[in-house]
Amino acid sequence: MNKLRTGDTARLESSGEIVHVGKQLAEGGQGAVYLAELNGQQFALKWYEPLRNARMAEQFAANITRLIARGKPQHRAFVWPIDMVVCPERDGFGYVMPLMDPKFRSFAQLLKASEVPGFWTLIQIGINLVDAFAVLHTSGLCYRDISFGNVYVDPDSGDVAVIDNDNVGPNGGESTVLGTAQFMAPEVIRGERPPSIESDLYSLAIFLFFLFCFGHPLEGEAVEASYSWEDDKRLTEPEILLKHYGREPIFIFDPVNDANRPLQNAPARNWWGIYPQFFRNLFIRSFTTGLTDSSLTGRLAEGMWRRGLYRLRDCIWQCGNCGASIFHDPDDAGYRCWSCGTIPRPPLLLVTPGHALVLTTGAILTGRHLKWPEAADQVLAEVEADPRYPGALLRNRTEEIWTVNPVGEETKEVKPGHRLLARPMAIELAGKQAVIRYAPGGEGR
Amino acid sequence: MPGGGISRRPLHVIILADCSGSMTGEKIEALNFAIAQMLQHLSAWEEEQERAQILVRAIAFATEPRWHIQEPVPVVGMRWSALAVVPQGRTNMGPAFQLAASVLGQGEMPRRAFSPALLLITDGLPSDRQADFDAGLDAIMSQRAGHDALRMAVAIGKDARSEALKRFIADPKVPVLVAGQADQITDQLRLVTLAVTGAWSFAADQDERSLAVDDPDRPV
Repeated sequence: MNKLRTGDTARLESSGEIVHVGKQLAEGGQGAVYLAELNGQQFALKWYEPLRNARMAEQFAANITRLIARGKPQHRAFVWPIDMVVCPERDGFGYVMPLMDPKFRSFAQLLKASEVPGFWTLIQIGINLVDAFAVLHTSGLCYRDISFGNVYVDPDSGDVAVIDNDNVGPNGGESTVLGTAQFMAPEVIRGERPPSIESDLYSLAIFLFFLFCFGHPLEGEAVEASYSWEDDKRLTEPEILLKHYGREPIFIFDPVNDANRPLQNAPARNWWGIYPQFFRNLFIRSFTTGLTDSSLTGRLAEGMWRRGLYRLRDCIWQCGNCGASIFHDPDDAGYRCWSCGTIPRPPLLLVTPGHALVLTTGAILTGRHLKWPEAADQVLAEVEADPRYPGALLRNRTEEIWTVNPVGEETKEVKPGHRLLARPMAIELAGKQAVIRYAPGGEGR
Repeated sequence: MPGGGISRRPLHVIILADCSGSMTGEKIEALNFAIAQMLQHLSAWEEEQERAQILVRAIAFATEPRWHIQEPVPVVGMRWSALAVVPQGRTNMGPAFQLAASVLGQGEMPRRAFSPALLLITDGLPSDRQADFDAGLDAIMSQRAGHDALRMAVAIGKDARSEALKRFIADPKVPVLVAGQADQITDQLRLVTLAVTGAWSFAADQDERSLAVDDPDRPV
């Protein structure tokens, strides 16, 4: 029996160090994962029983060896193979990798939870995922098998862990895995092309659609109509996949083709309208042009998603009437609150060249807003609330004094660590000029 | 925030468990334990994916069949209540098949459901007449959902390996899973879990005792 058992002793291939096999943590199609102890520390050990196809097994093991030699990509999301492991009593092979922090939940669990994380967290998850894959792709590697099973998230911080990296390989390299069907790009499903960076980007778009709309972008009435138990109408699962994800995929929110609109009770119906048009356009492009054009024209690279996600974050706002979380895009006003239907009061904006930050509690101004690529995430200002001082309070998180000229008032200074009540004004911070003003439609108070 | 809860498609699992007299003692205890384990594994699998919702029904059969779980129960959070042996009960499979067939019809099986999984667990040969066995099997196979179902059989003890189980499975690629002794039932049901979750597919040339794992995501 080649199944690894608790109590087995394995060895690291490189150094011969002893690895004690602990309890089984998970079991999947390709192997099982165990707790393992090495030098008093805990790791995870993934073990593969011998594959029927010896060539495939060799290829697989060789791929993992390459990944180990290459080392982990420079992003903390990746749970990466550390070393190969052999076990004298068992045929098969395995590797050790870091143990995932218990704070992580599977992505599927996140989507099914009765309480959904707030927009800030959803966006952070999206940013973390996009960043992780950007690191992979800019090194010429491709993931090839993104799906719910591979991605774990911390619903509190938005941190992301990407596991099952055994399928990573160079773009265009030979692949032993084709990917999870609902995430597979049409050209891969049709067998026309192997997995690649471009098909990864397609999968990423599907993933992000799930994250923000809680449903699959290609599953609507047309797909529903294909389910049947009648003898002459029955399609097998593979036939359904080939048809609706490969040959005739239709976006549920295709601006022109309404043949595959979401079902009445589909959550996507509720979520889609919440997002500003610029954000929806990213999905529209991914699932119209991106269905047929597998070049980087149709498949949005990570930079596009990143810009969209940060811009979306800048738009987070609250409905003044009911308190619901909403988005305010200054370029796309006139929308109604998804929860109470009223037209929300427009927010104050902190405007820098190319950016408009909605001043809501928790909003942050970062180096990104001032076009500092080397300090893009450095927080320069943060919006706070304080029951003693009604309004949006901007905390100076830099080490320099801000000079501010509120409309109708004299020039004032805001020292480092001090707060400013946001109101229409010119403001100089970190050597740059910015303006605080009401979004169009807003009234002076 | 608007609600979460993505829509999933039902995956019905129907267990047909032999509760005849010969299952007394160790066998029924081991079987109950093994089923509870299997349901836990299915539950864990379901939590990690977003497509399927597994719903469980169970038929206990001896001389007569009866529903042990009649209304489909979501596997997540489910507690398995133990099967009991019917003293001097025989092993009539035909009527059990008929009962299973009654929930596989077009009106019963939701349109968007995945093909269901039927799991037959027994320690003996069918005691019913050939005609009754056949009629029961026909009732299943004449329903599209029954015909397309993943049908598996676990045989406890070497007596149970029989042509009848192979006919129930009706797929030369799918072997009868054999638990030579009661303590091997859990292992065989582990293979059932892998098959139901699509993580493992049968192939014609494999050794029944050390089945290798095939690529689960390669489309047909």
